[in-house]
Amino acid sequence: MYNIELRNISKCYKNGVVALDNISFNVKNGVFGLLGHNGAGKTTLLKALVTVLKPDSGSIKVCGYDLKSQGDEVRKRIGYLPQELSMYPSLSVFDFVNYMAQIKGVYDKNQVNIALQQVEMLEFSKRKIGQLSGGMKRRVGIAQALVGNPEILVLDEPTSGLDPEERVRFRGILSRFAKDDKTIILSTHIIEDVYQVCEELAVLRKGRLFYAGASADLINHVEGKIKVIKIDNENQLFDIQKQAVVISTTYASKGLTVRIVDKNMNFPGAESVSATLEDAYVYCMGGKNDA
Amino acid sequence: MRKLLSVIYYEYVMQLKRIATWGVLAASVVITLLDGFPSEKNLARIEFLLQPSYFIYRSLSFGALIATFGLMFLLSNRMAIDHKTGMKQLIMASPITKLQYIFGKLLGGFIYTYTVFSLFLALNTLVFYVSVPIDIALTDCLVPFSKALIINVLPVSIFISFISVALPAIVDVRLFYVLASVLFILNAASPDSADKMPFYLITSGDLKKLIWQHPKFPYINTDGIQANLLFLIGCGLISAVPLFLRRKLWRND
Amino acid sequence: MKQIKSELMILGINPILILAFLVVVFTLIAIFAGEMLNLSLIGFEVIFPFIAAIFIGEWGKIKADDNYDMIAAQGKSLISWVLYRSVTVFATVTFFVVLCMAIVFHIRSEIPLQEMILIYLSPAFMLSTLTVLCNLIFTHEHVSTLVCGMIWLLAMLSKSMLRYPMTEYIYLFIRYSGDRNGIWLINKSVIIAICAVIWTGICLVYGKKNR
Repeated sequence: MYNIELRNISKCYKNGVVALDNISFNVKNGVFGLLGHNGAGKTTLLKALVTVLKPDSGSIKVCGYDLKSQGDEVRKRIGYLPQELSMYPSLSVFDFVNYMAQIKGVYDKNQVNIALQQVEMLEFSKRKIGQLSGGMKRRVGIAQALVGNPEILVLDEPTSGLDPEERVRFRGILSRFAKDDKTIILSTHIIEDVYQVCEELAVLRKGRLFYAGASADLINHVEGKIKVIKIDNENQLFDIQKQAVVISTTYASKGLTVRIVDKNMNFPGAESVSATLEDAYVYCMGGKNDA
Repeated sequence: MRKLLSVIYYEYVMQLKRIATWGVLAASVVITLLDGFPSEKNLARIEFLLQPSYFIYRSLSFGALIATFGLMFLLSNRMAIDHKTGMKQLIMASPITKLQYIFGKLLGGFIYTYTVFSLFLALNTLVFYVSVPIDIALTDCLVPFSKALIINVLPVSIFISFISVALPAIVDVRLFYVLASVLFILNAASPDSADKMPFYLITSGDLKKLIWQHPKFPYINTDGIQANLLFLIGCGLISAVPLFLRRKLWRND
Repeated sequence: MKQIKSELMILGINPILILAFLVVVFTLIAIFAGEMLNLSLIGFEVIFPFIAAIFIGEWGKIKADDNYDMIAAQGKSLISWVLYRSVTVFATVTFFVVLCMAIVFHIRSEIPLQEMILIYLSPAFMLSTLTVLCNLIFTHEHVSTLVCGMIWLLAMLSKSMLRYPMTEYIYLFIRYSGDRNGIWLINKSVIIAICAVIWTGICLVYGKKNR
């Protein structure tokens, strides 16, 4: 059984922008990644999922509850971290998480301490929000989402702006949470985060679902097609761009190293390397619908 | 109910923790005492200053207007700030209703205003009681103080807190400031008089005359009191109505 | 000129609409208010100067501007930015105030137009200067307006202070308070001189450093 089921979700804003166009996919237990460019519709989709925004059409079921008719049941089961959250600077860390806990109907202060412990913020619980670093604020944001032990955690770009150490710490928190048969939806730009923790993912492009399924399957799309070519100058690079999707270019003192997806096998002599999720993602975003 | 109480409690705590709250309180107390401290010079200048009820009456016309003006500013972004900081989205995604959220904000603001306004009067009355050069029974101070808490502070707190929390969520906060400044200047420009006072006076309307009356004019303008009370409570309550009606304010359930 | 144009664009349409709304309201008051009210004095010496200060506090934000750090770090001169922003807002408000004065004069003829301008300028300049000073000090929104509002209200409420010698020379609303000794022109000049001193201080302090 799936924990989240989205069927034909569409949303068009008043200015005519189609944010979501007929999106359907399912999410089971574990960490689910949501990838896409800026403006691809990730935040709109998450807002619809947490009942903040009403889609124009389609249906969403969360833990078996219909979002339209049983919104309260859905909200009881969801922990949410919005993309931009400043919180109340005058409150202490404990007070803020306790405030959110009480709004969720959780009145046991131990639960607040447990959530703070999970994000390693218990020792800073008396510190004012306004005195925290960016990484610490994000951890408090995650703590408020974790409080009350929700079945589903929805995180909108939680790692943006965090240093690598904080990101590793964050991935640890997610993995620990996901262990207990929970579902996490993680929207991010950072492919590394998705690669490290997500078994399944969805890729959105301009409001449309481009891919939904296992991360490994997405990688399989480009497996055997990733090649590294060494060239002397940029003119050669332009020629390559005409025949293949360029993933990355590294400039060295003598020439350039180009990583490509050689879909039509135009470069049979080039060195083959194993594909990564980033290769698959950039290929999806860079190009063709038949990927 | 507990969720509503939580919103009220935290709204109250957050406001009380602001340094500006204590700045406004201190400024209004100092200004009131500069005008009405029972010093020799002031006692010679102000005829009835030895009477505790007159001192409280006078405090309500002077420093109280400054206090309410400051509180109005401090309350004016309580809903807008949730929108700006992303907190509104977070709260909307939680199992809390629009009624709980709005009532929490309004009542939290009301209790905060009532607290600060009561502290303002209490501090002034205490300083007066300690400093007045004649013996005054404590009850002589407590009776008009208690009367003021019910007759004046209560409706004024409803007015200030409700309009300051509700209106800036509906109109541009800066337009609200402009409109409020016109109202406050009308209040500041109205001279004290034994005659019937304009209904729109916030702290120095006819309601105030229930605390102290000039011995030469011992009559009460009942309709003036009613108009003043109706204005304060009515405007407060009416300004909250659009919040409940505005669909854009909350998620579509 | 280009910077003024940019500042006007940042200012946006909202303040213009609010000012236009105020002009309409004042016109209606001018038409319907009785003869007992001297609208020119209360309007242009007391109310509009504070409205100018509100506009400077709310639309002429400096440290409370979200982009302050970026501008302070990269701008050629902080003080010129402060000046452009504050002057643009003040001039915009003053334009509408003068328009309102012309209408009120046409309807009521209480005070000559040039006198109204003189009456308005000194308290408006003083309150706006104090607001700019607050804008340079406070990083939180609305605090400047709050501080100036309390000063304005206090000035209004402390008319009784005029019993002390010399206070009439620096009292903000001298005409509204009666001007018993007929010194309002001196009063206005003194207030403008005080503003000039404050501005000199601002320019000296903020002209040297960029933050």
